[in-house]
Amino acid sequence: MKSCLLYCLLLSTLWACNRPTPKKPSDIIQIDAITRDSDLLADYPVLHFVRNGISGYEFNDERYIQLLGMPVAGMTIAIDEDKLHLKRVSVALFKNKQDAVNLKEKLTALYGKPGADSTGEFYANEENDLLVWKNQQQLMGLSLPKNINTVTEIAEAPTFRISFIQP
Amino acid sequence: MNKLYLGIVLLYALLMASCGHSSLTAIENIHHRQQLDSLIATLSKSQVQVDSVPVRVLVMHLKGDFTYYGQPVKELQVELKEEAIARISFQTEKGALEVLNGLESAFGTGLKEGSGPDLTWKTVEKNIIFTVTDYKGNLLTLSNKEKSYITLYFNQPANNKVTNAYTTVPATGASDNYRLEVDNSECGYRVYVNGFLALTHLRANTLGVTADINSYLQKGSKQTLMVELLPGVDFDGYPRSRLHQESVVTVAVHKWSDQSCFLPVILQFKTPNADTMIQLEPHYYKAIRASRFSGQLSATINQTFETTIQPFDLPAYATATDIRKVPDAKDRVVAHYRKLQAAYQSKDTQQLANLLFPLEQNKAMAWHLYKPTDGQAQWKSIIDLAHITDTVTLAENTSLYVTPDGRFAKLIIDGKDDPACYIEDANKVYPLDYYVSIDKNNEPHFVIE
Repeated sequence: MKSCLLYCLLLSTLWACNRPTPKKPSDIIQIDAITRDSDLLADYPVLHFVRNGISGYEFNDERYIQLLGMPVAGMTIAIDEDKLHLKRVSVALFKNKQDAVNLKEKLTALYGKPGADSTGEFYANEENDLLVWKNQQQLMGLSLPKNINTVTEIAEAPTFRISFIQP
Repeated sequence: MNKLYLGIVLLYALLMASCGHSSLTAIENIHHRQQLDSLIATLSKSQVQVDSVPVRVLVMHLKGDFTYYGQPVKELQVELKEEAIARISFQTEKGALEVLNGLESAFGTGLKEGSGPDLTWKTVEKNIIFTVTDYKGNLLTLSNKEKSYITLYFNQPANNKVTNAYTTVPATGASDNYRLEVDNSECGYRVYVNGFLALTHLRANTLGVTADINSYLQKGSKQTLMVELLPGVDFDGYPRSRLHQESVVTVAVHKWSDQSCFLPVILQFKTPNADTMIQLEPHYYKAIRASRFSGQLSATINQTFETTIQPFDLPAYATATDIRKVPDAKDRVVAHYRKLQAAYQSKDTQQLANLLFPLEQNKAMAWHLYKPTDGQAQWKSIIDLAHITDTVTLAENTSLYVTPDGRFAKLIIDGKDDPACYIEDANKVYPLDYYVSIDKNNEPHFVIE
């Protein structure tokens, strides 16, 4: 009787342990840490990227991507023609004026004063300012509403793009 | 002492009950028809309302105290199609965040395609759709105050042999896939992988034609590739009789997997040009380096490439006899295609399973190519197609294309290389492009697509 009960106990313990293991990611994709060689599908296998055209991917789960610690609304990745490197990462930000201003300040602190886009690498519409920063690995373009300092609310979500420079 | 043990066991029983795992009212535990039936059996007559009975479809509403990942659900809408569960949809009274956490613990992160907090999961047995309607926020602000709306689409009639077969197929790990990418100029071409006709293109000047070649790879890592240059058509669309001087085909083999966003090239080559320049026209200064095969009727170029080691040979390889030695091979193959045609025409899903399911199973088993979900989706599309089919055509003038090793053959339309058997509806043509092998008992089988 005793051993039978012990057996039952063992079985039920086994049963209790036999739960599916959680597969939720603990990592967050930090946009500032992506390089030309980053293989995001390999680095974050638990996240679902959506294939976008022949040579691109999209990801839009705001819980798992951040730009300088700030959640972002979506990310589009373009692959280089050699099919072995990233070409461009485009990030859609949330429509939040304070976040946009903070981001501009953070990027300026990191990479110096922004310039205009002399490369033709990025595009902006008439209502927007295009600020460009450059370092050895990448060219960064932030598209903000022109009157960001005076408007109370921004109508169009700012976008941030990184174009990787071929070594 | 016995009382103590009894107490512990009772405590465990209580724990089990409180987890809701053994309770049938937890909707997440419904995987097939029998489980749904046992749930319905616990409900009183007034709790089950049959909504409509169109042909072969039964829609019913169930009322009761159900839960989904611990959140209360008062009503389920269940749709049965041909007596198997097709769909269950319901709304939780609250606890959208808890439901999302439950789903992600069980199935990993959901696929989010829109901007709203709507996510989907594809599992072997069902597709799960999670939505939060009338909600302005995003996933960062989602709380338990919101209601979640869940729809479960069951992939396969529960407990039928298809579902059971696919559960025996191991899920793929980090397997590599191989893909051809071909550009051509003033010529047509055929590309063969290990003797299998992988790609045919008879028109000129097309860039980036691709074909997946996994099903043509052979055991080990050494693979062969052959390009056949064909005269193709001229600028006005008329067929050429000989190879034009600008007959150049560029072939690349890419490796790809779901585990990498990059596609390394493992083989790339261009059909050769002549060593010397030729003048385009007399008295005309422009000269070009023409294709080495200019003026010939056709030409072939052989290449080899290496893949990661393929662990399996096709199961059909083991039993296939040499079709070239079967005297009435074409008749047997045609008869086999006729069976397929009849099965589609009479919407006979059982016969389709007999003919095509071994093929689907072999594909998954042999190459570990498809994830179980892909296999399920593929099989579902075959069955769905059977239900909407209007005309299945088997062309009159056909010829038998036999692979060089003689083990596989398929029916193609005379002189066109197009598959001879196809389904045609108002908008689209679906080729039924299958290779056939003939076993030792002279029985034909569909082997690879």
